[in-house]
Amino acid sequence: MSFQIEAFQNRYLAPGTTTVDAILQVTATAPAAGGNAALVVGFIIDTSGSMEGERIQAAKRAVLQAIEMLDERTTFFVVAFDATASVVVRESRATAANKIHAHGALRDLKAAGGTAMSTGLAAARTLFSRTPDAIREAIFLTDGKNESEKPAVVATELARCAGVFECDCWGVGTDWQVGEVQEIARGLLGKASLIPEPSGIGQAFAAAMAHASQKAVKDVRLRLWTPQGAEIVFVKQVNPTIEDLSSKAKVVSPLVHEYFTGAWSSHEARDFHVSIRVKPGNAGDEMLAARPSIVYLEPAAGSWQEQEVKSPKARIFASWTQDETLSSRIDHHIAHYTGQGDLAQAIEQGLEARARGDDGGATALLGKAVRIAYVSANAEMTQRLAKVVDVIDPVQGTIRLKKGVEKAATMDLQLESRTTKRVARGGSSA
Amino acid sequence: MLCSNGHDSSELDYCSICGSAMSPRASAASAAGAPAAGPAGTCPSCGEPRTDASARFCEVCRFDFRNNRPGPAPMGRSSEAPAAPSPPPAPSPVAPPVTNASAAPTDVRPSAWELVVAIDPALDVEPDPSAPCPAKAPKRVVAVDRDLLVGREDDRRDIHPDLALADPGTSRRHAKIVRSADGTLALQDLASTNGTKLNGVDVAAGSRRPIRDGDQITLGRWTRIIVRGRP
Repeated sequence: MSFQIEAFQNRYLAPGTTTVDAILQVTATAPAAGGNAALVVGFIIDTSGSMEGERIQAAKRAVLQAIEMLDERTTFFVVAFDATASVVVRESRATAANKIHAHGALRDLKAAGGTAMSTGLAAARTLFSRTPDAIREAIFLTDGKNESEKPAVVATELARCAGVFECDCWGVGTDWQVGEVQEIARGLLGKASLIPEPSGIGQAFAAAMAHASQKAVKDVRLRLWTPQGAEIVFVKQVNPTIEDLSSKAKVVSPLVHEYFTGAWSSHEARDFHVSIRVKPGNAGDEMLAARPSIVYLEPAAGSWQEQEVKSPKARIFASWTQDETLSSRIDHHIAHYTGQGDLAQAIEQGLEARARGDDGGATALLGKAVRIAYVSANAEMTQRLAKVVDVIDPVQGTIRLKKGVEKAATMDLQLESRTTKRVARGGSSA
Repeated sequence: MLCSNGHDSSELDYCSICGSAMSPRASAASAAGAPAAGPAGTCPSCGEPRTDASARFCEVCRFDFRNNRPGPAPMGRSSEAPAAPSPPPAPSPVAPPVTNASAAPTDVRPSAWELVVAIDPALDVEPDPSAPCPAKAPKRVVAVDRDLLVGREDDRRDIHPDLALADPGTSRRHAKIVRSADGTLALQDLASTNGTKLNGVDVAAGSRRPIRDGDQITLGRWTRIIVRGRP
């Protein structure tokens, strides 16, 4: 397993300008033969009273189907939570015997009680802590509000879980809070998604299993060297989703910072936007503004080995020139992701405006979102927006708010607002 | 290796402390007082080191040195891809030397040359586990006392280059370092399979380019050759 890193930027700056922006495209390349990473998958399932009936039955079936997909090298466990958590299946190798045991244990699971999500996370953390050497992926399912505890309790527990395991979250139905579930997913390097009907849980979990078993390396970090006197303004992941990593920086040395991105699967690709402020230069001066590299842990003979990948193509430069035709150009990768950032913001603010009854503000903001989605050929987002607004003219961003929008459509749009379209390779500045 | 600001850099291309280019020529020029347009020996527009004082255009941004203004639009190379191959510039065969002779860098012609041959794992962007980069191999210093064939040793075909490289990305007859009668050096790519770069710029297959103190030649999967003029 290795990585390819490539930087895209306009290196030319007008004299006096000190901010250097670049998009880094990082692609994991195929794993080397043999030496697979140990994987532990934990299911964290809401079994509060509201799950009773079709939801809990579908959730049980989905967990059992997902376990069937695992091979014997993988370890799994199942935690159920209402106001408190219990271990339904403790960590076990996915052998035929253990799968049969899981069937029995899940059969007796009943839905009752309140909802305290932190208890489920804490139980999973305890089990995951026993396998520090594995890639650890959790699947979290809920259907309701986190009504049995204060939000601060979840925040505290998330801080403990961060770095122990990663977690993708699903909410079934529409009676749950996007913000609550998203907080858990974002805190644990995962994604929050909506499953409209219980029948969809099986498919969602199967996809999650397929994704988890592709994970090949862990502790992947974007490492940035910057020269003396320079300052990192921000580091954001911009694809597949927008995540500001700036606050998660770890200082390795005065000139080297690292940004944690979790476990990656083979062939995974992510883009990052790096912004650096350098010391001012004169026309004709050139300097290296940043030297990005990828540091990761790779399975090797039963343990993990740290690797670093550098690339001459990943270097970010600052080059001052009097020539305005050079310095005024905006690299099209940066333009694209700046647009996707504006799109996410317009959606989030537009939905907020609509929720508080500001129809004028919502129309303007969601109209802007429709226009950016259309111009950047983000078809998925255009479709999601069309379920919430009537599009009159996508080029101008002329829309009308829909009456009687399905709640699921609004929640889905809110959940996916920061999912970006990947920049097209090559091409001219757009 | 010391950079132009006197930092001890652990990197060969740009200083690991201040980010300035690790080119002794650029440092000598800036110490001597750079002209307003930019340090002598580098392009005033993009800062690329000038490999050929008689070339009219910058090899990277096509800045016109003779008229001191931006040249025609760059071709086949954009700022998004700093390491992308660039077509060689079109130096006019009758291009006179820089008109203002006093402003031109005054080269002290080194009387002897040597090549520092280093293995740079950072160049190995697509590592092959079956042939890992020997990152710990020591640097070699090779004197250029005659023309040198650079390439991969092949006993079976009885090819023994003067500068033999154990780099699977190099061709058996990859490049040649040529000494001219006037003591200057040139690099000639011998139509190698994977190409040769001079200061990060592709040398067109088969073409010959002058090389000078501080120039860096990269080839194969991990080989970096630094040119040094030994006075």
